[in-house]
Parts: sequence; structure tokens; C-alpha cells
Amino acid sequence: MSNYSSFGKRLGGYILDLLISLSGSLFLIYVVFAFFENDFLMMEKGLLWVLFYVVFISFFVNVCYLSFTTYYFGGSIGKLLMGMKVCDGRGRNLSMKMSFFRYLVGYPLAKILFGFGFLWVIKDERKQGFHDKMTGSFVVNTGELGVVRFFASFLILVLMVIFFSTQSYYVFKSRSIGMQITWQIQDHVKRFELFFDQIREVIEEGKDGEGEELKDVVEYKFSDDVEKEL
Amino acid sequence: MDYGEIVKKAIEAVKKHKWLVVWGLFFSVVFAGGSSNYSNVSRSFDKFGENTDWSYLEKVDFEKIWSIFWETIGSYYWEIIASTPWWVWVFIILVVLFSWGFWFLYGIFLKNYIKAGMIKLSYEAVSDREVNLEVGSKAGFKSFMKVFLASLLIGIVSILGVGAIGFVTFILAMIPFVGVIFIFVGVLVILVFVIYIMVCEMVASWSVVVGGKEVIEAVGIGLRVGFKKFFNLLVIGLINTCSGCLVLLVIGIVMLVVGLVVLGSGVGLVAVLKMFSLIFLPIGLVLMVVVIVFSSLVMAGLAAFRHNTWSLTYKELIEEDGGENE
Repeated sequence: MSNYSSFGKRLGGYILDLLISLSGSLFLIYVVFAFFENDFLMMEKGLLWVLFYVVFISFFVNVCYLSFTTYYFGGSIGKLLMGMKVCDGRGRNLSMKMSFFRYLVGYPLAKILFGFGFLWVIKDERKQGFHDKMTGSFVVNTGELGVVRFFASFLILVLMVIFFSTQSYYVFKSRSIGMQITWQIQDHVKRFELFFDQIREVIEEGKDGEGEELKDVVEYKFSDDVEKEL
Repeated sequence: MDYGEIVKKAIEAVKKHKWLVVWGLFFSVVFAGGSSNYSNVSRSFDKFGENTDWSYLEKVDFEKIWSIFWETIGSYYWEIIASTPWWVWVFIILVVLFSWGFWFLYGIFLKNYIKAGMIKLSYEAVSDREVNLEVGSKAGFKSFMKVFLASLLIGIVSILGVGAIGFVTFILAMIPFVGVIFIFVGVLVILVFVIYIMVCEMVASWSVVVGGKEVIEAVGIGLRVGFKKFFNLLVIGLINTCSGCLVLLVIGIVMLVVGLVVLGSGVGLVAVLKMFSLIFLPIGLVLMVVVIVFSSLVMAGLAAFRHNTWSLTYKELIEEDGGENE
């Protein structure tokens, strides 16, 4: 059967999915920059939410996105745009369980050793990666020209990425967000430095037993300092 | 049991079945690290405790420290925390708990899935049947829960056993003059018991995956066969441990040689002609990738070899025991 999708075509689909994910993330950053105004306490919270998303939720969201699209439509948006379909040995869409398993377990295992499991597609007779072999699935062409769609989608997605990144950068620059974040970090660092300096003094005092007077706590108005620098 | 024959057959099966080595790669990556890291950490903590004199802390005024903390850091961060609505905290806690639970369950599933798949593939390989990722995956999916429960049950048995032996040793150690002898005996018994539990766990896992037994039955077989054939299982365990040490030694030497060559030539080249460092860096990176690939494949082969020896042993012992496999 020569209908199995080649490595190049699958790589194209993967790049499109990657661009979709990237533009989504950039959109998220843009929203944070655009809607959290000049108040950098709010900005900090917004960035924390983005970090929170990246650390705790993004993997799960990604697996869910890939599993649901593969179960309902036969492939992720990138694969569908490239004219490919993920199916079982009988040409049917994967079951929800298999689909979830393919992305939750198959993908991470295929990534081992510099993506050896994905690269295996080049050599394999039926163009299966490790994740395909583990779930008994195949990626096949749906018979439509994927190259044109690839370049069209690629262009649109690249434009989206450029748009959101330039917009984010514009807001970033116009509101001096970079400077604000730097000052904010300096503010935190100064607080901790002051805290540890004074703690060291107290501990030294206990260590020597000389009863050396602890210096009065310096009243450091951080926000005033930041305002001055602004 | 002919141990030489087992080793020979195990090596032949590794050479013959590439998918077994691929699954071995999954196994070695998923089971990498673990207990050795923990012992290093605990050792460093012990040293930390040994060399530090904490007695002066008794003189430190902790109320003062608290007031400093509150004035410099505490009040500021409390303001931020207090200004955040309660439902945000509930949401964050729920998400963190959910993601922690998810990763925890995912880790348990993945480890037992890979372990069950590895057992099945090694058994198929030494039985000269078809070995591929789909076979391993199906077996892993089918048996991961049973393998986990069998390990858990044996873990509980081991905790109870070690506890009981420890308690008896503690009581006997109280006896004047001969107490010290009982301590040595107790430690020895615990050591033998731990080895026994380890081989029992092996037999139980194989019984679940390739014997198709239920958890309780498999644990029973593990405890019984482990007791009856303790010596045979111990020898296989020692062969596997020695082969592991040998492989680690080879990997260590290769890494050391490559590291020294890269570092030595790099320093030399930079010292002679600075521009050569630009050429040297990619070469060093390529060599590093080669070493990583080499050591990963060797570890994968080792995992496959170890499971093959256990599979062959299990086959022989269960056949001797009169048990039937699926």
C-alpha cells in the first residue's frame, strides 16, 4: 500500500500544528500585555497566569486537543490541512482511548533519544513511528494535494505569529513593560537582600554572644524608589 | 539450571530482536535515576548535619527575625495575597492538585505499563515468537494495573516483614552480653529477606504478565517459588547485577575518555590558536550526542538482557513447578 504519508508530509503537518500552538501562546501574551494596563502589579499577575498555564496546563491541553481532533476528525488541524488522516488498520478513526493513549504515552516515548521514534517513519515500510506502532495506527493520505494547503496555511499562520509578536512587542515597548518587569524584579531582590542581611546580623549576634546591637530595620520604600526611577 | 546457557540465550535474543531493544530503551529512560539519587541526597544532608554546629541558634532571637521578616517581605507579599480574590486561590489549589494527581498517576501508569510490556516482549523473545511494539503495548495496557497491585502488595509484605524482624532484633538486642550478636544476625536476616522480596516481586510480575494470573495468586506464586528456588533466583540476580556494573563501568570509561579527549584537545587548541575553538565546539557537541546515543543503546540492551534472563529463569522454574502459562 503506497498511500501511507511520507515523513516530509507528516513533518509539514507537525510544523503547522506547532505554528498553531505558537500563535495561540503569542495571542495569550498579547492579551496579557494589552489588557493589564500600566499597573505592573496586575501585569505581574497576568504573567504569573501565563507561567501557570505553561507549567501546569499546556501539556494536558495539547494532549486533549490532539486526542479530540484525531478522534472526531481523524487528525489534528495540521494533519487535516496537509491532507492526511490518522486511522486504524481498517481505515476507521481511532477510538477515544487509543487516540488519547497515542498522544499521552506514544508521543513522549517517541521523543526519546532526539525523536528517534518519529525519525523511524523515514525507514519504516508502512511509514509508522513508534507511537503508531504502539497503537496499531497509520497515517494515510486522503488523496488531496497537501502541498498547496501547506504553503497557504503556513503563510497564514506565520502572518498570525508575526502579527501577535509585533503587536505584543509594540505594547511591550510603548508601556516600557520590559523596564517595569526589571524594576519589579530588582524590587523583589532588594527586599530579600535586606531581609537576609538583617537576619545574618541577628544570627551573628547570637553566635558571638557579645550582645551587639541590632541595627534598626531600615525603612526602605521600594515603590517610591521605583517611582523615582520611572 | 544451566546459567551459562541462560546468559547465552539471553544475549542471542537481544541480538535477534531489535524491538526488544527499543522497548529496553523506553524502560531504561522511564526507570532512570530513582533510588540512587535519593541516597546521594540523603547522604549530603547527613554530612550537612554532621559538620554544622547549630548550638548558637539557641541564642538567636526568633521574635526579632519574625519582625524583620514581616517588615521587609511578609507584609508586602501578604498585601498581594490578600488582594487576590478567594476563588482564585481555590482555583489555583484545584489546578495544582489536579496536575499533581495527573502527573502522579501518569508516572505510575507509565512505569508499570513499560514494565509489563518489557516482561511480555522478553518472554516472547526467548520463546522465539514475534516481538514488536504493538505486542508490548497491548500487554502493557492489559497488565499495568495488576503489575502495580502485585508490586504494592509485595511492598506491604516487605514493610511488615522488615518491621517484624527489626522489632524482634530490637527486643533480642536488649539481652546483656549476647545482644550485639543478635543485632548482626538481625541485619543479616533483613538483608536476606529484602533479597527474597525482590526475587518474589520478579516472579509475581512475570506470573501476572505472561502467566495471566490474578494479583493474589501471582503474589502467592512469587512467595512460594521465591522461597523454594531462592538460590537459583539469587544467582540470576547476581549475574544481572554484575552485568549491570560491567556495562556501567564500560560507559563510564567511554565517557571519561571522550570527556578527556574533548576537554584536552579543546584547551590545547584554544591555547594555541583561539579561532580553533569555533571548530572544536561543534565537534564536542557531536561527540556528546554520539556518547549519549551509545550509552542509551547499551543501557537499552542491558535492560533487554536482564529481562531475558529473568524470563528464561521463570520459564524453567515454572515448568519445574508444574505451572501453566497462557
